[in-house]
Amino acid sequence: MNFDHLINRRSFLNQATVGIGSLALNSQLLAESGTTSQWAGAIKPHHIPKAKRVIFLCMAGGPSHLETLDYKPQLAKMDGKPMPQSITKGQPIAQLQGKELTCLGPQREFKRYGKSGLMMADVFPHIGKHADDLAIINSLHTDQINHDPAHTFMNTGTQISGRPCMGSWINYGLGSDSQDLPGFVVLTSVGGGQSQPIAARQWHSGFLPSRFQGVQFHSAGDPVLYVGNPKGVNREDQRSVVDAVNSLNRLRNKAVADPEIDAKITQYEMAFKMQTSVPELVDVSNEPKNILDLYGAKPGDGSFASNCLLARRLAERGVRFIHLYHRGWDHHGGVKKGIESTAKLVDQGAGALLEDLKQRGMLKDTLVIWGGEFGRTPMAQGSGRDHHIKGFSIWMAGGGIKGGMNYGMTDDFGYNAVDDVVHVRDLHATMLHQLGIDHERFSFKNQGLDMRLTGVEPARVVKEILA
Amino acid sequence: MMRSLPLILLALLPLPLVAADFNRDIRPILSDKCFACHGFDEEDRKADLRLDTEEGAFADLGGYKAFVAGKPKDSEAWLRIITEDEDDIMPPPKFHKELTAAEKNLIKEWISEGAKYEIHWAYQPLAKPPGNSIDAFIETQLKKKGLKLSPEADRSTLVRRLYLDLLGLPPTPKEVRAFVNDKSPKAYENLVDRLLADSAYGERMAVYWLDLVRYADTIGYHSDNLMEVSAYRDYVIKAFNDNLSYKQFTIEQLAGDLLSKSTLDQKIASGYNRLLQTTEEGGAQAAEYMVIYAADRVRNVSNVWLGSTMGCAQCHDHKYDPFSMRDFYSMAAFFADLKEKPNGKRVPNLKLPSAEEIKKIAELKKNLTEKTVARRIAANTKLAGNLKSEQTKWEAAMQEKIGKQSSEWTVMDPAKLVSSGRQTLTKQDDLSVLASGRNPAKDNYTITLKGKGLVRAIRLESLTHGSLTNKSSSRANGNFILTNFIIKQEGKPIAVASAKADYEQATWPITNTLDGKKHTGWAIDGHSKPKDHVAMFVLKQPLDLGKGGKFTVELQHQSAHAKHNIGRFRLSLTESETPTLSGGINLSPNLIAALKQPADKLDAKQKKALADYYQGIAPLLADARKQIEGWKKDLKNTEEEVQTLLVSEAIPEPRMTRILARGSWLDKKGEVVQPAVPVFLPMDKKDGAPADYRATRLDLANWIMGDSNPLTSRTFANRMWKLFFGTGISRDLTDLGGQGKPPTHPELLNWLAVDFRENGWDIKNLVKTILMSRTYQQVSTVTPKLAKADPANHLWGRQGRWRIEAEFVRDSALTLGNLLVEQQGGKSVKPYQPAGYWQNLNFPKRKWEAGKGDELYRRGLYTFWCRSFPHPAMVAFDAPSREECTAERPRSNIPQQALVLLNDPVFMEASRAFGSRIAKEGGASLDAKLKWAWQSATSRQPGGEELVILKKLFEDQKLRYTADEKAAKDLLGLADRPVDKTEVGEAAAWTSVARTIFNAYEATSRF
Repeated sequence: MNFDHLINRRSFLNQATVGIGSLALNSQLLAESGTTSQWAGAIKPHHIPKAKRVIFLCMAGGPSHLETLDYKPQLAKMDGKPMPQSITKGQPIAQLQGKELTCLGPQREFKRYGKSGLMMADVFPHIGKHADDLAIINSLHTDQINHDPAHTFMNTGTQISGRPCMGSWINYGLGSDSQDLPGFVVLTSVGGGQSQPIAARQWHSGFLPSRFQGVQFHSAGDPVLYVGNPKGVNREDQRSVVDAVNSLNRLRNKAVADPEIDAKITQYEMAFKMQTSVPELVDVSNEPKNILDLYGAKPGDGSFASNCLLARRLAERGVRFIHLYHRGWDHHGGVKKGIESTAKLVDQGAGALLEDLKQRGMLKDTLVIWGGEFGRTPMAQGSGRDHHIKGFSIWMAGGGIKGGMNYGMTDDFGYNAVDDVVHVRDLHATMLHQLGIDHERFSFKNQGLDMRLTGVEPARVVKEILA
Repeated sequence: MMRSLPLILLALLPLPLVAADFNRDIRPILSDKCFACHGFDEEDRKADLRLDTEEGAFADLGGYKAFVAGKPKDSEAWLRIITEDEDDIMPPPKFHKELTAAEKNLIKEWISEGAKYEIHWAYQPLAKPPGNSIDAFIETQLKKKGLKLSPEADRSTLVRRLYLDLLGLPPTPKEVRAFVNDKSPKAYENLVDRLLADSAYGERMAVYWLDLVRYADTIGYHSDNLMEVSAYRDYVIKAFNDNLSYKQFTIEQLAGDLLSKSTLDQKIASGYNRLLQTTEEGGAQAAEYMVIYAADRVRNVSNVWLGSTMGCAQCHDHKYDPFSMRDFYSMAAFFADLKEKPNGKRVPNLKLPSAEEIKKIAELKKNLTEKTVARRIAANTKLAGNLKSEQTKWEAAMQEKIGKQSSEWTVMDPAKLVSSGRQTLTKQDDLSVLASGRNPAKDNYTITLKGKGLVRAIRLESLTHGSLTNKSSSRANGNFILTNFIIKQEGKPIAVASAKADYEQATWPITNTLDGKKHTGWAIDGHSKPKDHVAMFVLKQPLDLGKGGKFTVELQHQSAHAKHNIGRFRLSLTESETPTLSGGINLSPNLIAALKQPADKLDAKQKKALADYYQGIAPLLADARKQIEGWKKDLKNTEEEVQTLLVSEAIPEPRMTRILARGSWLDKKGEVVQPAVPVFLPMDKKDGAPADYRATRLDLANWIMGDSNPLTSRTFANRMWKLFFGTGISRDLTDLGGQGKPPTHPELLNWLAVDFRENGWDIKNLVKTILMSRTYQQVSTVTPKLAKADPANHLWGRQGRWRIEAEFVRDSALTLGNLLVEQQGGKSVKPYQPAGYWQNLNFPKRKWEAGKGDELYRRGLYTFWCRSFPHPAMVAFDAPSREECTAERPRSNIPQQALVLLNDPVFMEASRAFGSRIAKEGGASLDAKLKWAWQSATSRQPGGEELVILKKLFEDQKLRYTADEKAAKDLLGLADRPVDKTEVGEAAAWTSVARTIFNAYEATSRF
């Protein structure tokens, strides 16, 4: 007799935790309890969600807000003049440590876009078409001034290693609608400026179970690692092997009744499905020419544009969190040209993604976020700008975000966020809110603590940008 | 302990069946729900009430008390818990910490029974409870629930369990048989002893320890470059194999360098202190990173040895355990003596040549001193004579050449050298200029040249030098960026028509030096290929210096890549209309001057210079030079091959450690602290220390291992239990503190912990004690009764069962394929890894180059551990990134595991090898072969149905691959080799069978 019902996931968890004084889940119990590949989510939404999924367009390297989204006419007048010490004294500073600090005026022209007349730099003709859908936050600030820790901070809410990133949190919380793809997918592209490294820790599930880690898709070789059959093995062969494996596992399970084996059987079916669904997903040959042209994507080129197209395809297939990194925004020198060349690689794809989602009726429940791990100094570093954390800009669109607006502002130099300041934690709280999650009630027990994406410091939902 | 409970309570609640125990039942509730505001952290304490101490809980709060023993209705805390007034209710609703009905009742019951407080279990002094065996403790609790130990597992299960638990490798069918048939009453114990003595035991134990101490081969942050620590890994393996006492093991790791007359092994052990994550990111702020490193060490040492989460006290006093911020920074101060740079490459400070390498290096050095060109000439008169006449001929030829080519490059003697960044520019004998002193982020060198006649082109040589980074030509990482090359005469720029160089780094061509931009320039890949290079700049119009004139050349280094300044250079001029990069006579001006003089006018110095130079090019000495060059190269390679290591090195004046408000590194006002252990934990007395004595890492290690420390042995014993049962006696292996999990068997944990300490911290003895228990030898299968009574196996009425660790999944497959190379230790190796997996790394960009030969088949623990991108096949099986202490890996069950086992080339290779072994070694009949295969992988005989599945698969695949020779050859990796059709068909089918068996859950699990 099979008595799985006695040790199925729910009753197992409940009984396991009663008597030791806590009902919280922990990773060990969760890992032991993976009886199905479909994860329904650890929580029920706390309120009606506006967004079903997130597409995060991470502009890695730290785009200069002063040449993209934050219009600072006063800074132009200060060009070449010393930066007032009253502002910079005692503040963290990266490569300009010990240097004379001189203002560098905005290096790009700004223009008005859309009916709302949002000010953005002249390098975003495609994104600009959707200005009326964008909420630009000009008052974001973060705690970390170097790339690697700043990404970690943006993704996990802390600089300490080993914490889950937002994609993992959201998958853990809400599960995924995808039947045959991972719920959290990462794609990277590169170009236009100095490309800083990105580590796999940025999509790691930390103390959450490994099933919630981001799965990286590659543009060369197997799109997902090990998804291709070995040489000499065709689909039928693979099917035969998987069938035999599952039959053997079922036999074993008759003898030992181990829920892990049930899970294993499901995972082999999932893996086998992925061997078809992943190549199908990345094969864009059935996309019409007008769509390929819209993105400016050449299939298989690994460009940001191609990744944007894949992001839409992933979104259609129910993937919960899609994280694109474009590595190329670290403009320590030549920011004027640099912004132009990097933007050129990013603008059309991002604009097309908004357009495409909109025409499919998906933008309304897809939260799109565009921004880097930090901004850049108003002070010159030669012809470029150094890292800056006290005030920078991102935009958000779709998923219940109000369009055509700016929120918050920096001072005249674009140095400090001074009005309606938004911390990275607030961004996380807002993102979770749109997904139907109250960030204060969304936690996971680790090392005895109720860990949250938003941490222990106060965080708020930026209600002002919500439609 | 049983006492009568009000009937009504019993009727309401399924739990508790025994009286409320403060540490087991009440403290976890108070800790989780109350201590954040009413606990140890003074700053955040509300209403001046603390519930974490007995004193606080019963304090008079002005006519009322939080708890009144025996009287819930008089206990303010209880009233606040049950009130319906939203303003008064505790915990306040905004914290989302509601108490469940069961928790409330537990608290009420506890108050009714007298509200007895106890010290937190893990902080209680260690005392051995009565009892003399693990089984007695386990059975007592099982009995209370009407349960007993499960039956003993059969021998084939036991032998596999022991092999996997102790060695991380499966037993061979022969080893299984030997144990199954061993009639000795001591058969089991003998097997345990034999495996504990097997050197693979150390490798298995190291896998766990390396997770704890976050051992990896790369620095972690940003560029995540290599750091040399593999010798530390080998020390750990050896320590476990030699059964070094845990005390010694601990002391050597924390303070091996501080021991008097420390041995090489002890120095290596001190590499522990260098395992943390570090950075090389340009722009990383020194002060910030020193704080990050200090905190990293406190988190790790407190977690590894104390099972404590001291890291929480970096920004505020600990909320749940009595660790203050002062404790945190005082602990950090122990490590303030470690020599450390905040940013930049971690240069190994210990060389570990093998005996063979020592011998080879000595021999090469001997050759290089004894068999120099000079000595050879001195020892051979005939050679000396021939050489002399050849030199004379060469001199004559050169003199003729000099006469003809007077218009080619002339090396210039700089008249004036100015560095805008105040470097020291020094003219060398060969008229090159060497930069030294400070190295500014940016610098312009202005060189004034005096000459006469026409200048049509200027040549710039960038030259390597021993004093520069990696013997390169740069003051940065080996590379330089010349942003602009400016020529001026009397302040007016002289136009350059074209520029050319013998080498250009991708996207950094020489023509960039003419564009006037600061973000472009000429670079030469000097960081990876330090070499001499040459460039020339042809002027638009010749510059006429007449009978004597001067002009300046400016070498600008204005790149955002800081400090990329040329370290040594030389300038030459020519009036040739067709100058070439390599043109002219590449002799130094003093040699040319010497050659121009009549032989009898030469002084001794000039004669020697000519002879020395000629010996460097003389055809007669070509063989000798080749030999010497060979030795030099060999010496260099050998020295580079020598294993090196980052180890601890104490600086005489430890860095100052301050308490940082909110943990902020920008805070400079906090109190300065000295090294000290947490105040609430007992410290063995140190006699006779002077008043201003500064405690060291050695003192810390001794305190950790001191008799009065209650945490160290509890932590270790709990983790050892986990290794052999799947979970700890206290379920939270990372936290024995207030927010951890009380042990299910506190007395057993205490007994093990004391026994471990009393036996001289003998790890093998502890392991053996656990393995010899009847509890360990039970079956792992669940009966319906057990599943119902104890689904999470808290009572240990059965063994645990689990999928084996990532490393052992690999090791098992390689073992079955007979591919595993049993070499122990050495530098980390690189087995196959998908191409492009490292594409997002930078500074420098790099590729994973798979190793060769044996390197492809080493045990998983030797795989190169890149923190940013750990090997993906290992990640799939939950190997951690080793950024922080991992006391317990999750055991996930995800599709990536199937993809790895099915498709990863190493598992394919192992399948082929295992398949061919099945065919050769499995026996005569098909059944025999299948049985042998199954038994090899799972250590048990297959059942009839299992055989049917495998047989059918084999027959089907044989037909399929016999019909498709190409597919069979692809599968077997035979490419275009001619083959026998039936033979390959069968071999391919065996490969499919082997793959299937690897993928069966049983092959990668332990029951």
